[in-house]
Amino acid sequence: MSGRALIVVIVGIITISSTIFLQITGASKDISANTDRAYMRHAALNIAQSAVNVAIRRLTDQPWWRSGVPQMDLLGGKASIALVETTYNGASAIEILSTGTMGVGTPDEHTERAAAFVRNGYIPLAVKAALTTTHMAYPQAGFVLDGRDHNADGTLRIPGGTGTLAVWTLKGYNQTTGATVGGTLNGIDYVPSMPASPNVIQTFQTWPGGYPSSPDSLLTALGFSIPEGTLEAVAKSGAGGSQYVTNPVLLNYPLRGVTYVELPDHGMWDAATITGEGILIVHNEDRNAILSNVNNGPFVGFLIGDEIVHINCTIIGAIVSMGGHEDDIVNGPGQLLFSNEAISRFTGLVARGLGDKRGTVGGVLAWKE
Amino acid sequence: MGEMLQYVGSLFSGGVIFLMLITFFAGIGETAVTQTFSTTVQENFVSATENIERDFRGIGYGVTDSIGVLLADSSRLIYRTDLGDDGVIDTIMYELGPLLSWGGGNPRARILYRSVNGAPPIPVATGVTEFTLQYFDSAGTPALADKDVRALHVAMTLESDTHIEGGYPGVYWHRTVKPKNLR
Repeated sequence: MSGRALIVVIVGIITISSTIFLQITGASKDISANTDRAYMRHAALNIAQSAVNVAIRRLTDQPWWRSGVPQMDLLGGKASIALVETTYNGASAIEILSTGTMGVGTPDEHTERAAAFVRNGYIPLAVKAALTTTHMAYPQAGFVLDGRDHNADGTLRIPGGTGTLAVWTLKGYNQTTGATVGGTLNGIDYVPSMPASPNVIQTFQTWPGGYPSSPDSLLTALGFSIPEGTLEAVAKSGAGGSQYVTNPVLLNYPLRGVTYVELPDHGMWDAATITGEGILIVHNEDRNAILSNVNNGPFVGFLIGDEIVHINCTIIGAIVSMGGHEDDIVNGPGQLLFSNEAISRFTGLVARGLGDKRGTVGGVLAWKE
Repeated sequence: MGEMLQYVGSLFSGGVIFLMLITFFAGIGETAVTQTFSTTVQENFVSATENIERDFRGIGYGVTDSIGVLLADSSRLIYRTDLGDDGVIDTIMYELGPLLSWGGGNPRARILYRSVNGAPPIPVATGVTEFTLQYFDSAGTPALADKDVRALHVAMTLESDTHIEGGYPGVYWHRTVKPKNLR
């Protein structure tokens, strides 16, 4: 074979070989790309799911948090979180929406989404007024009892009409000079006045089935109740700053989360400081624990007590008392300002501390991926 | 004589080299074909497994009672979920079809079907030679009843319908899925 012919043959061999090799490597590249794509998809989904868990954890510490996170670094990628108040199967819920992205800004960028519904805060059925009590109610000496709706910072909510009664009691009512009382009925606000409008005062009421006898039963909502012992358990867990004490001297301030003060039979917490927020329970098995001379506040949230005497500070939220004795209540120079927002913040904390009937954690009602 | 020997030697050498080249090209050609079919199988496979995994992760979503899984069988799964996120609970069925009866092709190939709310099933994967489901309870032990299912393990093999020297190119995949709405 001549040299030219040989060159032609060799070039031909090289060309054909190169073409076949290119085809093989191309197929190998596709196979690798599929594997890479599967990895990126799973990694992005892991990021999205982890971001949801981050949000659930943050809601435990900050029940009022709704602003979300526009973007954050997480697990080698980027995550974003948004929160939306909504309903899920008729229950008040917060939808946590998250995205997870791997390979941001690269040709391999891949985004996955995850979402979860968690229980939102709610107003328990037991909150029939700013002050719900088994006792005679005695607003006096400059006390301001306002059932109109307020923000958690104490400012009046505008527009109005979303408040509640001033007083709901199994017994009577006696307002004396210096005290002003107001509230909301059927969407109409009544400015605190002396005497109060009878529209916002309900006396000698009855509670079908009997007045609740435990703090946990006071947190029942429509279609939702918490097991007995839940509040005590949450308090003992320390979640969100919660505390359980049998001696109020041991409390850390400011109060946060669920603060459960269990006093002995006829025990009294006198000259009480309740500065802080959350759900404050002062109670014992005999329902005769006394919270007296509540001098130092403010307290934002839901106050549950057996016997409450002389409130001399500001409480933003609601009070429910369930003691069996007729003691004075709300007869100090303080103020009780009803607030849906304040109550909802912390009932949500308790609700999210529960699993649903299938045992999901963090009060998650459902996951959506 | 000497020239004759040279010609014979050249002919022999050239023939050997030519045979080597033919064998070489045949080998890489076969590899190229196998790669191509494997890529095709894998692409179909990735698409099918993405859908299956996404579906299984959604088992029990929106279900308010404890009945997420209706039927848990080794080759069939019926479960409930709110597929459209519209508050209406749907019933989804995954089932491995029978062996394909037509001649030619992969004799072990089957079709994996998916059906929604009793509608006629549609294929989600073809060339399935294995589709096995195992179910586990909250303790990680095999679930004794459908209502106890908290996790499922799915194993699937997809193969090409074309026989290549040595067999049918295929892909094997297995994954344990723990639907969060069942936990």
